[in-house]
Amino acid sequence: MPLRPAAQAHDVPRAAARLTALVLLAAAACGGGPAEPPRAIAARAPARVVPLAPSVTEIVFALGEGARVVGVCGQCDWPEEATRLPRVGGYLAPSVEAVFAVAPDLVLAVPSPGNREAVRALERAGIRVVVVRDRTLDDLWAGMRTVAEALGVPARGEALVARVRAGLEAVRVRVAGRTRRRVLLLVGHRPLIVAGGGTLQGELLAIAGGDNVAADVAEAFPQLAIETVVDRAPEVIVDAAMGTEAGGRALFADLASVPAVASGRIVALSPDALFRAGPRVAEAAAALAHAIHPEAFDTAPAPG
Amino acid sequence: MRPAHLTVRRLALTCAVLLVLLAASVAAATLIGPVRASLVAALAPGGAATADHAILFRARLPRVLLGAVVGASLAGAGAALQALLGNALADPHLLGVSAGAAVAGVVVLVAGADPVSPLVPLAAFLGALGTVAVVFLAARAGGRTSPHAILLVGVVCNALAASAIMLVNAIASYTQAQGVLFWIMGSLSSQSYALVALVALYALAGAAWLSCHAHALNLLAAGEEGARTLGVDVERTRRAVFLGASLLVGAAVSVSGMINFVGLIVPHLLRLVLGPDLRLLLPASFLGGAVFLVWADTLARTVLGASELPVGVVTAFLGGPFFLWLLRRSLRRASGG
Amino acid sequence: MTAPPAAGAGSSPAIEAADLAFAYGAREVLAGVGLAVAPGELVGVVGPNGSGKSTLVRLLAGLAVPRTGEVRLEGRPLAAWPRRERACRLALVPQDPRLDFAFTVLEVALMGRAPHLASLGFAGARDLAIAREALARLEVGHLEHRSVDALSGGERQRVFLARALAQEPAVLLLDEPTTHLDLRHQTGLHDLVRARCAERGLAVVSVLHDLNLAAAFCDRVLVLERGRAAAVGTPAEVFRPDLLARVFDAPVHVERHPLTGLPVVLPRGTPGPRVRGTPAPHTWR
Repeated sequence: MPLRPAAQAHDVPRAAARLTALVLLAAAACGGGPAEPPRAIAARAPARVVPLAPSVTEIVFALGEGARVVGVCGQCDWPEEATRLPRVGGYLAPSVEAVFAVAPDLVLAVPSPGNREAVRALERAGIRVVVVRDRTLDDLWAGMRTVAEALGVPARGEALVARVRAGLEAVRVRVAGRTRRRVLLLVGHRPLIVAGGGTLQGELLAIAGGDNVAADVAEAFPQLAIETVVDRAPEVIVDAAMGTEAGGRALFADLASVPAVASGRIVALSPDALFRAGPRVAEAAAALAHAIHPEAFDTAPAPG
Repeated sequence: MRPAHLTVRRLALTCAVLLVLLAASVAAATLIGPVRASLVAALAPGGAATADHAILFRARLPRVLLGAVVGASLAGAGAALQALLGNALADPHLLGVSAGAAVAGVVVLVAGADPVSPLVPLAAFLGALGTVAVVFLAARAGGRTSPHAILLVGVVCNALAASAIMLVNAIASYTQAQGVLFWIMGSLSSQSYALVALVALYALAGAAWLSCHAHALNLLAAGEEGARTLGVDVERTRRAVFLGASLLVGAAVSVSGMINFVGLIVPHLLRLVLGPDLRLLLPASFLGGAVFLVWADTLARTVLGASELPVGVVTAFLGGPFFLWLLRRSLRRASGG
Repeated sequence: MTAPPAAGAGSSPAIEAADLAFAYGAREVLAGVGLAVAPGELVGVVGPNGSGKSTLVRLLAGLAVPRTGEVRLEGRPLAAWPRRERACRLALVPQDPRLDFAFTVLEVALMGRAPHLASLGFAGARDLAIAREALARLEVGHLEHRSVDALSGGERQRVFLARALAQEPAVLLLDEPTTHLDLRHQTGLHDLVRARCAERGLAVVSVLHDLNLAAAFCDRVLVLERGRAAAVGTPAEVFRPDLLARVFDAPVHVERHPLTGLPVVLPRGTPGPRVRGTPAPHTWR
């Protein structure tokens, strides 16, 4: 900026100071990086991605874009490569500082009870945050497509959706024609929490040939009295709670009137695949089907 | 106006009435629940395999019985403690024992134990024992156990425990935190007759132990020196009552978490009706506390329909306003005369 | 100074103390005080505030351990008595008795029977009779059903005295038993106590503020001054104007009661504008 000639001696430093202040302010407003307006749809695909939930981590890796991930949440443990990445806090409470530290240009999040503030803070700082829902299978397909688009690989997104759907269809076919069995999906021992209607887990149950005994309860994960369980008489109990297998069995030990208990059909499943709206839902559905209709899996599985 | 003094006859009569009330309450509560179950079907030949039988005798009855035993322990300990401290507003959780039991239980839960596992009440009880030892030793000065000191150390224990529990909760996972909260808020869900029997025996022993000191506790109402001139071994009585009440509370909290206000409301109400003589008030509190908690838990089991409230929430809702009323009443009495 | 039992008492003292000393921390409260009370004797303890009267009573009751000296009850040191036995022989009515809980008057009186009863303390017919008789003699029998915290100060004091009498002790210690009592009951109480002394050989030590009451009822009086025994003897011997003026730091006038011949202590009061010859009003309160 040219200065007026023949100014007094102290005009020069004052003007320089004003200029510096202006530049600094502008730089601060831009977030300190190269001047790119915030929230602009990137012309090129994001290079540094931070998924804040295990399910989105799995989706990103399933899309083949694991190399772009620079930080994951504490609970992200699949695939194995994810465990070697820097942690940026928990799924419930991500650490905004830790996210800043890895300088992402895209953050992927799932609505969780504790991360709204963190997501807002990230957005205010000018980082692009994409939130995908995970409540139903439809959410899952939409989520996969959204993530793929955000990563700039929409075709692979479609392919992933198709692959997972095919996996689910295979499970459905496997148990087709068999009488549906009444199933209780246990999420917690004490308090006794089950998967209700309208959840993704409920949908998987249905695909796996089961009839969720708690499907009529509107709440997603209601707490039931044990006598309600007895009354609904499930034929299979899938124990996907975080406690021990022995604990689950102890819970139902004396309740011989429940068909599942009488026939010993209390199956423990790892909660990891079952409760992540990610690419492994087909495996989860298969595990459920195996638990609900074990006879359908007696013969060796078809190759491929 | 109540009788001028306590006779054996009045004691026996009152206890008999309360026992009948307790039996009726247990029976009624077992028949009440969100799910309909037929007693006739359960007792019919071959009924042992029916859902009715399972619901009544495997899901409900153990829980109702546990509620009775826990309620008895808490109320009995409360009556003894109120006499020991000379204060009708004392609650057994002031002792700090509950805090120790709660911390130990929470730690075990977060360390990975299944909430249904017997490790949790076991650890909690060990925590209770440890805390009793700490409070007892800390409250002794010069060979004398001061009620004032017991209270103060108890308050400190409670504060420490609250912080410890919050810390543990902060590092626990979401589901674990849920389980911790549920346990702490007080839950009687149990299907084990063995556990009920164990706690019942324990509570009976505690009741007998405390009853032995009932008369001495009466005399303590005239102050330490008044009691001594009447021949009471004040130090021994204080020690014995403190230990007995603490262990009762410790056992109750270990199996059912923190259920508040039972130990405050029940003895207080009964004292208003039956008088302060502990030879009557103590057994009456045991029986009355059992009845109270059975009904509070019945409310907790039914008010939300298919789901259930932790019983500690119900007692808090009942007890909180009641405690405020009590406080106002005693303050008004103290100032108005 | 030790006071030997009155000459001619004939029996060994019911309670005696020799050379008692006590201090609260560094503050000395009693030193070199001794006393012996024969069965049937009523000994008064008088002195200004802070002279150690209540402390003396607590030491005699065994509620505090003296630094030097020893208290003997019926010849045995206090410490050698098992708690319950001692409570059967020695009773104390404290200065301002209170209860934490609302027991009835009868229940309080029955508490006095506790040392004589088994562990759960259920009263038998005889215990009830004794308690009721004590209440009746103190004119609070009609308040049997009343809760103790609903009584006036005087009624409460009498109830606690009834409790002590129900203990049927051999030695009775009274710490200012008349503070809340009206004139009728002040004299009535001491009449009753004297009667017990005569009937049952009860030995009594009574701390009193009112010198005239002491003069009227006590066989002997112990005057305490700053923790030491200033004088001990019959009221006539002990209530001398010079001694009382010195001990109480207030000028007094001692007259002889026209009817009983016992000393009557009259504070002189401050000189001021008063009609000469008219007694100062406050002496009659």
